[in-house]
Amino acid sequence: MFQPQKTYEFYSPTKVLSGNKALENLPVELDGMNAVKPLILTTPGLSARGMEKVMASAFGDSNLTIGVFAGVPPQPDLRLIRELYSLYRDNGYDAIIALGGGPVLDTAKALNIAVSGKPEDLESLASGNPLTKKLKPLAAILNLDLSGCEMTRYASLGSLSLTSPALIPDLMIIDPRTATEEEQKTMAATSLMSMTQAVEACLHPARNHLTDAYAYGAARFIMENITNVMRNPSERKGRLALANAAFFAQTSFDNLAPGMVYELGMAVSRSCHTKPGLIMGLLLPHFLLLEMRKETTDRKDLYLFIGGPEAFAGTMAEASARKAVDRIVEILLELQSIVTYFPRSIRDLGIKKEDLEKIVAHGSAAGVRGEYDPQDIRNILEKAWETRF
Amino acid sequence: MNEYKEIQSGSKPFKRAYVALMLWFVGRAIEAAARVDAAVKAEFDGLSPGFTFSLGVMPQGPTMIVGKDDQGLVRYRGWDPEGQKIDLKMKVKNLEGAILMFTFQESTAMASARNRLIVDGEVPAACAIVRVLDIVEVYLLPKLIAKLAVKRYPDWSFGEKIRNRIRIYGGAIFGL
Repeated sequence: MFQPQKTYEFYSPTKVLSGNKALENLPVELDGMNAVKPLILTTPGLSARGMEKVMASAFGDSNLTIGVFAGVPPQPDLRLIRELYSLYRDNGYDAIIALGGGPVLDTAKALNIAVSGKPEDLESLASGNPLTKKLKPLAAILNLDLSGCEMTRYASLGSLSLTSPALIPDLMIIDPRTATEEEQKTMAATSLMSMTQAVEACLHPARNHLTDAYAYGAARFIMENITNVMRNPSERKGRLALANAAFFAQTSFDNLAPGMVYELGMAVSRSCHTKPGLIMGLLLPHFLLLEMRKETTDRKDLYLFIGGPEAFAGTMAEASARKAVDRIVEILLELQSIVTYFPRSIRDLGIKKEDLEKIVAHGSAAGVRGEYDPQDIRNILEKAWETRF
Repeated sequence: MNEYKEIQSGSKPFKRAYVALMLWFVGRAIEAAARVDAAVKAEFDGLSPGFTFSLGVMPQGPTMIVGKDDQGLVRYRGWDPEGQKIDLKMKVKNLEGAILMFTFQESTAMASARNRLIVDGEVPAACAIVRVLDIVEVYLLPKLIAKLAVKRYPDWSFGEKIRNRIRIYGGAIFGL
């Protein structure tokens, strides 16, 4: 029976514009949000790649003045937000456009809290008090170097963890001119992060038909495009698919609690300063094998997400879960053959075996909120350390 | 903050001029087609007396305005909406969207489907105008290009198409 769950919630307030000339809609969309003077935040790297020109051209004929701050560092902090707060207020900006991923969105979300109220609201939110002011319009223009939280309610700023549904950007734009080629390893990390978020969403006990729909879209976009884009990074449609996958995966992830692989990937990443997506990719097959062994999920159609409808239809029900794992491993092996210095195990990232216990402690305490047995976490980490794909 | 600067939005004078020229030409061609083609005339006859529509580019034009006069004849009414009562406003969201439409890389129907147009007015009237635009494009463009611009290329007799095409071009260029 195809019926909705007895109760469920789903929240996604973002308007999505994706495709050719999508950027050119910015003036009209800002107008619709009563904004006429946006401040663009981006990184020095993206600025050096000529993104300011692309943006000026996108605003062509709109007669708008646009502020550009192209100095978002990899680790934004409160001092930066205070400086940007003054800049935003003194120059009369009324909207924020985040061009890029990770720290750019963290900065944009934090700045939005500050300029919609006062900078002290950041500490207040981080200590658990809700936001009381409606935030200013925030548009996100995604590229393929993403942290996995851009389109979610989460942001981090130094030691502050900010969480509020109000932080989710109002508008997201994916345009071939901004979702440009990144290093293969960066694009692989972004895609494997999305893949992990999608797979964990579709196995999550609180999943619903909407999170499933988003997770399915993300998984299909990635499985159909990831290796093509790695082989031929100039493949525009493939890059757009991977950027869209990130939005789909993040939206399903945002509506469910973060999963085990996501949390462990973040924890391992902090120990070895490697992009978490790469680590999650290495952990994912071991997590799925554990789930299969323990029969913890009632999901019988994971292979539909991973292999697509035709492959799923041609597979015996009892072999379906195993085929899903095999297909993910095949993708990892292909990535290893295409992407230079793609890790084959977490040992390759400089993680020592004795470090694993610290990660287990972190994972079972802060990360996975007691949902998982520490023995399971240890099992997955040890397998990902010992096994070289 | 060395990394901060303010920039002015760029301008696209050539693209703007091209779209303005196309709108002027299509506007005058619609006026001529309403005299020449029975289907276009019937579409306008179905619209309310004095019906006027504009097709333009956001945020600041160019625009063309076409409407019915007191005698029910269809007239091109220039580019300036100031002081005109407009029943239906069709606005392309940006100049690049208009370029895609007027270089026939995208049909009007496809542009609508891709949400490149904002329509302010009655939906049946907007559908009628999209059908009129399709017919006019078939007359104005060679078959190879018109097939890209319209949803379905009509099955008209060659002689009738050429006769009407000459009259519409004459009307659009020379006001005959």
